[in-house]
Parts: sequence; C-alpha cells; structure tokens
Amino acid sequence: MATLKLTQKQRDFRNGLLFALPWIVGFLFLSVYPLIASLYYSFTEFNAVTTPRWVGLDNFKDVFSDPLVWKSLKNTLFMVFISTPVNLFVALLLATIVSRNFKLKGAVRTAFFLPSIIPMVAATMVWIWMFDPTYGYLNNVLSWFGIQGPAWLMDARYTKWALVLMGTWNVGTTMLVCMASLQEVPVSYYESAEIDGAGAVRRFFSITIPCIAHVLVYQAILGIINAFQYFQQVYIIVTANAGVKGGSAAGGPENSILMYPLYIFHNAFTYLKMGKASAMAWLLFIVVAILAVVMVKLTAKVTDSAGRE
Amino acid sequence: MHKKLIGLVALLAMLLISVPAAFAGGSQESATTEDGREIVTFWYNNTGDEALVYEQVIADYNASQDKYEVQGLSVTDDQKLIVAMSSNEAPDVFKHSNSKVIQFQKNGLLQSVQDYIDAEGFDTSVYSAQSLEANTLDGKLWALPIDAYTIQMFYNKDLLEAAGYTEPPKTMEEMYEMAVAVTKLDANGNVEILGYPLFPYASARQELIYGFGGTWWDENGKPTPQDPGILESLNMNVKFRNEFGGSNLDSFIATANTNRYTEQDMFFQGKQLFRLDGSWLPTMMDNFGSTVNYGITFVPGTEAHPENRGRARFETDSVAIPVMAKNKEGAWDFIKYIAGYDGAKVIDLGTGNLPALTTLYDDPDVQAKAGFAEFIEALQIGNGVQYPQMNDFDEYISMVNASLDTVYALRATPEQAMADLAAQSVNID
Repeated sequence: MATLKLTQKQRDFRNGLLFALPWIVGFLFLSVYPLIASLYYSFTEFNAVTTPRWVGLDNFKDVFSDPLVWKSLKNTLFMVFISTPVNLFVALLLATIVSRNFKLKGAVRTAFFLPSIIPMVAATMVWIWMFDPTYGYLNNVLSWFGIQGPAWLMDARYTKWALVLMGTWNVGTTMLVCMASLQEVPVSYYESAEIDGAGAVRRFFSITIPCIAHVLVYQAILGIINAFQYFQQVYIIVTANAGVKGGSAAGGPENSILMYPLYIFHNAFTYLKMGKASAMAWLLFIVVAILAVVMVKLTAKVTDSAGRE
Repeated sequence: MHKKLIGLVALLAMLLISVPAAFAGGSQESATTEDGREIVTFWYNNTGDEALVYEQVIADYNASQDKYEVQGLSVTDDQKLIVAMSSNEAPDVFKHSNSKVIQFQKNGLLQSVQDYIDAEGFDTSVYSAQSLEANTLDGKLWALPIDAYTIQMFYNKDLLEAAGYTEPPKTMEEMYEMAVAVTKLDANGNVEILGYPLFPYASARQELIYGFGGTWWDENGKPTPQDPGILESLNMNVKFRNEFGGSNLDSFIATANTNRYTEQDMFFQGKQLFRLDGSWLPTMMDNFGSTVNYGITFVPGTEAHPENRGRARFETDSVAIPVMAKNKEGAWDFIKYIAGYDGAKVIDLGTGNLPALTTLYDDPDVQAKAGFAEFIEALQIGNGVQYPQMNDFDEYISMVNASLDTVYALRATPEQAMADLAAQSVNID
C-alpha cells in the first residue's frame, strides 16, 4: 500500500484545519444547522415540539397576507430610517464636543459613554419610569416650559418617538468610534482652511465629514442591522405595560411598537407557530442581506473616494 | 488534496454534530437521589414570596413519603418551558394557567391525567365543576386545578360616602353615576381621583363587558366582537373618556400601570373609587400598609339584565404532566398531593388565590382570610366566564387589545373598531 506523502504546504493546511476544527464544529452546529433547520421549518406546520408537518408555501402565504407582518415591518423601518440617523448624528455631535480641549473632558466623556455599559434590561426599566406621565423626569422637565407631556408609552402617536429618544442615550460606543476617527483627521487641513478663511461650519462639512465618511457609513450599516434586530427594549416595555394578566396588545398600544423580531418571537413562542416564525425570519434575512450588500458597495465607494482625497 | 482534506474535516464535523444530536434529550429514565428516591422535577411560574409557598409544599410532600423527591424550579418564561419540551428536557410536572394547559394540549404536548384518575378511581367530585371544566378538552382532564381565581369589585367606602352614596352599585348605570360624581381633576386637568374602573385594562376588556352580558367568543369558540354587550360597554367607556378627557385619563392609567401592586398602587393610595381585581388584593394591601377603607361587592349587572351581576372571568392554576416527562408516575403522585386538601390549602392561603376544591370553601383558615368569604360567594353563584378553547386564543386577545386601544384613544368608534376586528379575526380558529 502506497503511503500518502504530504508536502509541507499540505501539512500546514491540514494542521490549520484541525486547529480550526473547534470553531468549524461550533459554526456548523450553532449557525449552519439552525439556519438550514429553520428553512425546513418555514415549509412546515410546527409547534416547536411535535413532528413538523409539510405545508409547502402556506406559511409564506400567511406571512404576506397578515397585516401585522406589514405593520411590524413598517415599525421596524421607522427605527431603521429615523432612529439610526438620529443616533449617528447625536454620536457625532457628542464626539465633536468631547474631542475639544476643556476642563473635566475625561469626566464628560465617561458620562456620555457610561450608559452604553448598562444592561439594556435595566436601562429600559429606568426609561419606563422616566416616561411615566405623572412622576417621570421627562414630563417634569417639559412642565417647566409649560408643556404638558403625553403618556409616552400609552399613546400610539408617541411610543416610537419614545424609543428614538431612548436610543440616543445609548450611543456611547458609536461616539467613541467617531471620536477616534476625528483624531485621525490631519490638523494641517484645518489650518490651511482657516488661512483660506473657512469658518467652523464650512470646515466641518468640507473637511471633517469627508474625512470620516467611511467610518460614518460603517456605523450606519451596523446601526441599520441592529435596528432590524430591535427586540429587547420593546419586549420589556410591552411585558411591563401588559401588567399581570395582560391588558395591552402584543405590540404595545395599537401595536405601534410591534417590531418585526418581536412578532417573530410571539409567533414562535406565544402562538406556537414556529413554521410561520421561521418563514418570517427567512424573509428578514433576505431583506437584511440585500441591504448589507448595497451598504457594503456604498462603503467601498465612499472608502475609495476618501482614499483618493 | 485540499478538497479531500476539507471534505474529511467537514465529515468529521458533521459526525461530531450528529453524535450529540442523536442523544439530545438524554435518557428517558428518571434519575434517583443517593438514598434511592426517584426524582420528580416540578416547574412553577411564581417568584418571590409566592415561590417560597411552592417550595414549602414541595418540602411538605418530600417529608410525607420516601419514594419520590420533588425538585422545584421557578420558571416564569414560557419560552424556556417550550424549548425544554422540544429538547426532551421537560419537567415531570409544571404549573400554569388552565388556558395555557388547554393551548398546550391543543398542540398535543400533555399526558392526560384522566388515565390516572380512571385507573385509580380518583375522586374528582371534590373540585368545583367550573374548575374541572376549565381543564377539560375533548372529554378528558389534562390537569388538576390547585387554585381558582375570579375578579370582583373593590370600592373605596370613604370616597363613596363622601359623594353621598351608602351602598356600592348593583348596575353599570349606578356605577357610572357614582364614577362621575367622584372623579376629580386638578386645575391642569390631571386626574386626581379616578371613579370609573378603566384600570386595569384587562378588567375593562373582560368584567366591564361581561357585566353587560357580552363575551368575545361564542359557545363554539368563534370570535364575536360585535356582541351588543361589548358595544354597550365600550360606549359607556367612551362616554366617560369624552367627559373627562382621554389623554388625562391615559396619563393616570399609565402611572397606575407602572405602580400596580406596589406601595404606590392607585387603589392602595385612595385614588381609585372602583377596582376590578382578584382575591389577592386584600393581602397585598395589608403587606403595603394601605389604610384605605374598602369593601368588596359583585361586578355590577345592568338595569336591563341584573342577572349579570357577579359575571366575571374564571380561571385556574393547574398542574399538568408533559407528554415527554420522564417520571410520569411520580408526577401524578405529586399532583395528587399539591392539588389535594393539604397542598392546595397552603398554596391558596399563601398566594391569595381561591380554592378549586369545594371542600376547602368552609375551612376556617380559608374563611378567615381577608376577602375570601366574598370571593367564594362569587364563585358559588357560578357566573364565571371561561376562556374559549381556541387554537389562536392568544393571537385573538392581542387583536382585541389592539382594537380596544383605538377605541380608548378615541380614534375609532366602538362600532367601527369592532367591525374592523370582526374582519381581521375571520380566520381565527
């Protein structure tokens, strides 16, 4: 029997694969297998426990004809297109402020970053109190200016805006990234512009923004992907608002904060419709994948142009 | 060569995956303790002081015999229970509401306790007929009730007397009149005292509607959102909102919701005239040191239908065996204890829930518990409304709540909102 002689390159490759084996096993077991299984379940009637029954495209038909799916998608898109840019703007604003030299700069940076390390569950519970129409800080502050604040989490007209507001509190990580990129912008650019008579606003839009555009786009991609996965905060708010024995819709007042992932969760674990939930998850996956490709191409374009500059 | 190696590694990885997958769920054999007792796992969805009550019953049971050892775990997350069932790691017994028991069995997840009852000739006549009906599907019992609950009306005696009334209302019309007389706004329109029982929302959806003779489903479990009783009730609700301002009332309700069952609970603080709530409320008020002078009366009927008085939801907490349980015999033995006289008595007194066992109705300790005599009287009139045995019950209730939100926000009339709901719920099964 001829012995198999491996070249050094082949041996390295084999050893590399063996070293990577734990990760490969984890990846196959924890990512690939659930992914494929959920694709299969999306074509079945499945309650998560008993044997799935093949139903073809019924779940997808159900998804497309369910008005709550569209409502949840609309709510999620609100977070994608309103909350993400607002958060990015606030993060950039804070980064610009803390990049300047002033007394207690370190303390201010810490204060802005601190909320990011607070667990989301605790932070959301605190915000529920802050939004309380009678005792909450927010309405108390508004009352100083003679404004009677609304019932933020009870009135469907304000619930999503309450979430946007809550999101701005948690931009510490994005602020840090923006801060780091701001420090990379060469000071000589600003000095030249100042000599040429450019004001602060002109310098910001003509120098700062183009120089950190690639970072902003990357943060926007992350923000958009996170917004599509918006779950924890609304789950806590809805659960807290439902009270004992439940008194509100599964997606908050008039389902105004029924986010797509929350509706997937309800279908899977409250209504025991794992098949429909899997179909919804796959549609979300496709939408996010397309969006990610578009954003990656956009990033490449922005990065190229930043490189040219 | 590379292709061969990649293939080999992938094959190895798949094998590694398939090995644990093949054994997922572990053995079907039940485990034993060091002293040879069979372990029975029991999950209950209570926390805090209530969890301690369950642990007490578990300890009592373990001390009462030497064949089984029950190991309890507080699990408030339904997701965990479902995942455990799907991975064959379900507890041997779990405690949940009867509506969840029925939902689980509609999905084929439970072991019928009827088989054990028939085999042993176990006497179920000691339970109230309502509590047995609540756990029956297709003529079989799927769980035994350990307690029951219904909702009745609490009222603040001092507020009522200050408004010139000496008796609580017997009809919705009387209640409305009293509510308007007592509701108080400050100079900015903020509600200081709420007369009409708009909060908790779950009671506005249920008891205020049941009192008008309405229900959200018919006897076949089909949605009936355009029931005249529902529309009458909602129109009265809207009339009150128009009179005192929907947004003012919403602010009060939002705060009431955040503070529910805390020291700042609006009823405990004397800021609510009427409160539709359960038998546990007096215990909570005692615990939080509330000094409110309250009374308990039946949910009102209407002038046209006084027989609806006391019409309120009826539910049970029940103990069931998952179909994939490893120690079903042990599970049944424990169920008999916890749903029996001694076990259920500890649970009922400890949690403030009512007995499902009629034999406990006259127990001196049960009768001595604040509010229990009034609530047991309400149970005995048999006006309880049971949840329907629908597959899509939770989904339907969520739809109902969303529709009610539009009515409460005065964005749709009750007639419009209920017509929309009827169209939306046409496929509810």
